[in-house]
Amino acid sequence: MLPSLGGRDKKSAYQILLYTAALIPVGMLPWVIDMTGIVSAIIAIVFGILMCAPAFKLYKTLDTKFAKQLMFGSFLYLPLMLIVYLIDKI
Amino acid sequence: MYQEEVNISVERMSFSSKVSAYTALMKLRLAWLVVFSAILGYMLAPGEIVWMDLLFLGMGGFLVTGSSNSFNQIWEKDLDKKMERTKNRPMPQGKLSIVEALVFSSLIGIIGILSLWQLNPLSAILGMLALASYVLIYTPLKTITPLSVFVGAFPGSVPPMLGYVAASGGFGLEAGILFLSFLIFGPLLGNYMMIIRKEAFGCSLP
Repeated sequence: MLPSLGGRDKKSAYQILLYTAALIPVGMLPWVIDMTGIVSAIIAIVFGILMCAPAFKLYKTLDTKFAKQLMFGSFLYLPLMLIVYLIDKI
Repeated sequence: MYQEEVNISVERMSFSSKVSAYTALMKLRLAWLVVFSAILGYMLAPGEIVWMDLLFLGMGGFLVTGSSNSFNQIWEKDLDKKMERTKNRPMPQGKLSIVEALVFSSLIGIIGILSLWQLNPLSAILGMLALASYVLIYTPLKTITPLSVFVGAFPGSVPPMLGYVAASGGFGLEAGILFLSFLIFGPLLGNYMMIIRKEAFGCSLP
């Protein structure tokens, strides 16, 4: 799937919503393959939901403020999730 | 005597401004983020932590990222001049000549790859692939097609996998999953920027 060319439109926001929702199962994968414990999977779900909320609002309103929130959230999500995996490493 | 003092202060100023131009070229914040992710990837792998490995991994990750960013900015010197966000970068400002920047980027790139080679050949190959795909594919492609987001996601997702491979010496499911969890952010970030920035998509990514 391509990022749409239209700029600030529903299509970009829809893709964001889709990929953000995908963060939840992907974040749980290390638990699925027994690399980390169940705690990391639960935190992945929580973080995923926290990311999905502004993604959903962005889809509804197309307000730039939610895109900025998501951008900031992404920069937190990655290092935090790595730390969680490390702490919950099996 | 007075003249001498003035000369020295000018020399110092130009030296420190050169240094800051080189560090701006490397994009330190991004480079540290790569070091962090690579080291966490390393620590996630089973087995004991070898401190020398961490040093080589950190140095390699830092320098290879710095080199990628530098080459990117040399390439986009003229494009960066046109954008508010990028016009103060060292290349469009003329703080470094193209030759200086090229020598610097190549040198730190080579030292970075050699540093990764100390861990194992696979790590060095991953580092080279990330560098090459960023500079030779992503950079020229991003002014042409939004598909470039997917190419750009590759070098962006390498760090934690690189750390894991540095520790384990091979690719496995674990390294693949670490890669995937970063990869998913490629199209996400691309789309955020599309919404945030009104500028044409092609030149909107860093």
